[in-house]
Amino acid sequence: MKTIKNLLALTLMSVAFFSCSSDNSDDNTTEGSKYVLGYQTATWNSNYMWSFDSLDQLMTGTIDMTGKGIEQGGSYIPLANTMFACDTEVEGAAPFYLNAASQLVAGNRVFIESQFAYGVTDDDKLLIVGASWEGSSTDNELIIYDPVKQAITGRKFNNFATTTGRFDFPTGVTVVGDKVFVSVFDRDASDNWAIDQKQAYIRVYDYPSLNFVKRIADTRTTAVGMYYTNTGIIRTDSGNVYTFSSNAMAAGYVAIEDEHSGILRINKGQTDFDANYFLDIQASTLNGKVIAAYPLGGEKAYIVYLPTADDTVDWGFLNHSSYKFKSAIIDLPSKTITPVTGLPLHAGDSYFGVGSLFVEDGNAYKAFVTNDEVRVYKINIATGVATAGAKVTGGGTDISAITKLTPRQ
Amino acid sequence: MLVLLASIQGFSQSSKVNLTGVILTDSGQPAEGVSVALKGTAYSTLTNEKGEYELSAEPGNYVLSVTYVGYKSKQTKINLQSNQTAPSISIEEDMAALDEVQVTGKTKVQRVREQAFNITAVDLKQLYNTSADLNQVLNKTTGVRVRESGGMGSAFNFSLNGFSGDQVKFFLDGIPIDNYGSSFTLNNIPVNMAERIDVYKGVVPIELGGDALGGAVNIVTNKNVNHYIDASYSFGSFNTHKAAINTRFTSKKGLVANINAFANYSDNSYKVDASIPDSFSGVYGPIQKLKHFHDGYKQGTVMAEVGVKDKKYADYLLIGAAVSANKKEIQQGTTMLRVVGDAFTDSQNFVPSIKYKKSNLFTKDLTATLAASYNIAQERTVDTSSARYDWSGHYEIKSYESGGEINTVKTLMVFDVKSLQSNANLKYDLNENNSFALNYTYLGYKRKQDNEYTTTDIPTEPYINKNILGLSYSLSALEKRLSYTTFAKMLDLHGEIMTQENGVIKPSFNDLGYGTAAAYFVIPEEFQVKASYEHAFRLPSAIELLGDGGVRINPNPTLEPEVSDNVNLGFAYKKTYKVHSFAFEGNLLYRKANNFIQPQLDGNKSINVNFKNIQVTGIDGVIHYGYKQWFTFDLNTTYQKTLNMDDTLLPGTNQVNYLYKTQVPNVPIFYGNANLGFYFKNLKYTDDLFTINLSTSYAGSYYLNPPTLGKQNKKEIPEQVYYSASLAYSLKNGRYNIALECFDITDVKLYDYYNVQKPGRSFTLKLRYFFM
Repeated sequence: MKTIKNLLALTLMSVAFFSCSSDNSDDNTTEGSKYVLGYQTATWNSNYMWSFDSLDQLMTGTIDMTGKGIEQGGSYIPLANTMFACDTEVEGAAPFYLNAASQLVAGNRVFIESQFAYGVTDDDKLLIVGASWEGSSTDNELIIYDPVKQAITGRKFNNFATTTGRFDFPTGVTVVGDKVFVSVFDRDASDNWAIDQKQAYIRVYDYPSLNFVKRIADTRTTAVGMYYTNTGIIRTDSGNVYTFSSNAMAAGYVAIEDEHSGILRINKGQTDFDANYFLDIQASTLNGKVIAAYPLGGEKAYIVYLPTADDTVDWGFLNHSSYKFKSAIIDLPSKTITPVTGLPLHAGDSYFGVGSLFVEDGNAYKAFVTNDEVRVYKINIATGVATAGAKVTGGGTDISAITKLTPRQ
Repeated sequence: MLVLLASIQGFSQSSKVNLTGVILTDSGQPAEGVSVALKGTAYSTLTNEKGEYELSAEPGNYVLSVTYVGYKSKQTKINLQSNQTAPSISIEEDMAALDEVQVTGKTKVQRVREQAFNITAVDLKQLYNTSADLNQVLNKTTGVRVRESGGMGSAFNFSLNGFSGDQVKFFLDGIPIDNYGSSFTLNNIPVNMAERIDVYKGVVPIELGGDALGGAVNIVTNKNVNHYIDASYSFGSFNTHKAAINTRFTSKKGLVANINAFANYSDNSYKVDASIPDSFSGVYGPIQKLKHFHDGYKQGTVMAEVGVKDKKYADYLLIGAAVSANKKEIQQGTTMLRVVGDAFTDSQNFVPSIKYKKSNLFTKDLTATLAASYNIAQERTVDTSSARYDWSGHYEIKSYESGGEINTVKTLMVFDVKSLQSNANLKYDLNENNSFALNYTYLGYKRKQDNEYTTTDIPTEPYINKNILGLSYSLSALEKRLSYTTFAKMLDLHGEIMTQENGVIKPSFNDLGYGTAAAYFVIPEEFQVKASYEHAFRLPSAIELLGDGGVRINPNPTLEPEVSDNVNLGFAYKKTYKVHSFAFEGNLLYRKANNFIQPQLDGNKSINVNFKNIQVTGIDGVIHYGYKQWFTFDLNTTYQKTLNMDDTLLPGTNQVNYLYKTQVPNVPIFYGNANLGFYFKNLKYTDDLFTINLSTSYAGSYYLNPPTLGKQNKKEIPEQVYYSASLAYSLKNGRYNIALECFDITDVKLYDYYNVQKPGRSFTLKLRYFFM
């Protein structure tokens, strides 16, 4: 009997030992900070989060999630030393962070419904706008998510209705100091949307009270941002807000002749567009339409644009349904445009692109989808020269986010 | 002999007379399934449960031949001049088969199984005392996987060797059952309504018509019994009630009336593991056991038929009508994250039908059958609530989310469906060995669809017409050891769909399918090998092309027909050694399908797309062991690999599909069932029977998303093993029956879909009365 007990104990111990050892053989055992990326696939919401040690891994070989990574749906938003997976499906949204052992782990999951627009605040919170896509209601909800508390800490409803039968739909959010700026397009509530392309619109709120302040408009360009991309409004290091109006079919709008795609500014501490600032991209040397913008640090932005003549595919930016996009780097205050060279014609983002560009040591890293492949490129921010890096294989259709995390002690 | 045969049959069109009689075993018990034939003619039949038979033949002198496996065959001279009853015949057990031998004669089910097709015939008679629906029965068959999203009345997906949805066609005595509407589906038809279910895998005979890509299921009712009543009622966990009455009356003049009525009700109030997010912070609370609170189902169907049989103008002619209605509350969206508390679907159907058969039409050996039904239905999907529920049943009105609970727009979708299904067969027996058959199937489907909730939505009236023509040749040779059939099908579809975005689209397809099947007894009655092949087409169904009005499924009018090459190889071996009987079956299957139509998530809904190329390879096997008449053991298992065979990722790009030749996600791979049966006769009375059944089901895990990708937190439909048991006691040779069942004894959590929990342990008591 004793022998049996001993055998049993031995068996249990070996099981425990082997489970431990398999844990230890996990990818993330080294100490220190890590990079984390989001790997999208052709299956909706089948996305993978993967941590890696060096940016060299973005520049050589392949990025392949075959047998690697954490399966987690949703849009990945780098925020306050977390990669927040904003998922409305299955088990909800979750912040992923590095634990003391430098392993990428999920924090508490939260339930967030219908997040159509989001942006990061100065004090490292996420500001989300819950909205009704079909416009069956115009009552939208502004939500503050705190990645430290791993919970929603503020909510307020605001009616986005404008004139009779029309309402604003959010396309992006940014927060500077005590003001929230929500980029919107104004549409008819009927099936015939009749989006107002005559002006750019921003709704302004107080932060953190989320009280509505006002709605500002500017006739120099068209609606800001586009549905679900959150890449139409950014904040620079100085605290200025820049908005990007596409006037493009590729962003789901009716392009109009008498308006131009361009960039507007709201100066720090202000709640109105800067009347003296407008960068007309359509009339610039790019001769194109700015579809999406990503902050590069300082006062620069990386933009994806489409030559005006190639704006022929409805919603062409989403779903990788057009491969005629180009890139440029813009110094926003000086309006200096540096076209990106060495980068083939590429597609837009497949919905979740807000965190897809990562900046370190004067270089930007972002994956681009071309007619032939998906590949990471390193772009020198000063010169605009792109260098081809790792190829995305294994079924990955885009890299939706890249960030760097340090372990939480 | 052939000359004699020809001359007897050449006698022609003179009117037939009936010979009736009864066959008993030497112990005086009625012998069921005994073959009774007029020797040297094509006239033959099987006895019913009471040992009775009935034969129609031209007047003349015959030898009546009675054969039954395990018994000595018997031959009696008969001078048949007018309708007459033959003296009862007793058959003796064979010398080689002493009283220890336990296998009985070749049943109809066995005969069906011996066809050249890859076919599984499920004998329902053994299941009459269970409260199972047909889905639960079929789910225990090789190659079959029924995936359910919940309890009684919930949506289900029937898959057969890698094919599912509309790729597999369902029939009731040859009439497609989808024409009876949602009140008459595999998850509510009671077992007592039918005698057996024939599952055709990969290759489908033309008689069934239709455009199945990879298989068909034909529910076969008992047509031999002239009078019976079978009434049953069961109740069980989750406030589930099922009642069914099946009855037939046949007058001496050949007037027939059939009534099948059944009703189902359940609250489906089973518990699931769920957590409730805090309404302010969004933080999920602890996992709790919470009840389904909006999952009720009620359904009622009455099918009645009247007509005549054995008339000059018709072997039978039946005119019938089915009336049915159902209502199903909806509890959840695609996963349990979306809790639904108000949305529901309901439908009403009225289905007139006609069934006709005439043998010796115009000329001897030509048989015509016609089965047609017309479905008038109203189907509604009601999703108009602004409430947002959690699993406790509490709700808030989230006005910014004031689409419906499932849909992004509030929906009160009303479909007025009118569809005609008609299946006509002509069969000509050239001689005893060769026959030809012609099938014509027509499906006309039109519907008016309108989201009555909105005024901006334009009501549309799409329609689809399908015409399918089939021709087959069958050979039976080498003393029936070889059977062979070959066939061709012409398929044609025309339709018109109006989409909100693209205007009117007129899909139109014309395709030619063909196939062949052969079976050969290497050892007569013992070892049979089979091979079959079909180049099959499936035309897109109405719902795939048209969607369901944007409720769950968006329309895709650019869908192409599916095409598949299906190959089956199989063997069946059975042997009886005195008290032991053994049977083994094995099948290898291969399917290569192009333009495979598969649902794909389309935001919060799904859309059917042509998933370009799929390859299915599978193997399945069955083992049976029996000891006398006391004990049976059955085991079956299925393993199948479904590979993505697309070689480009996106049409029009040069991107490589790295998932080429990898397993298609969200498809079951490995599963099996085992069953132990114990039978105790004459416990207290001479005519009682006590049955114990223990069963277990196993399903291997599979992934929701591409299985090659990811390491941690993979969304997995977990491996599941569950056990069930039933006890049944019958009195008076099955007239009074009581059965107690426990499903999922250990209350294992069951899933067919990711994060959609099904009912766990349940108890059911069934009472049944049967009289013939």
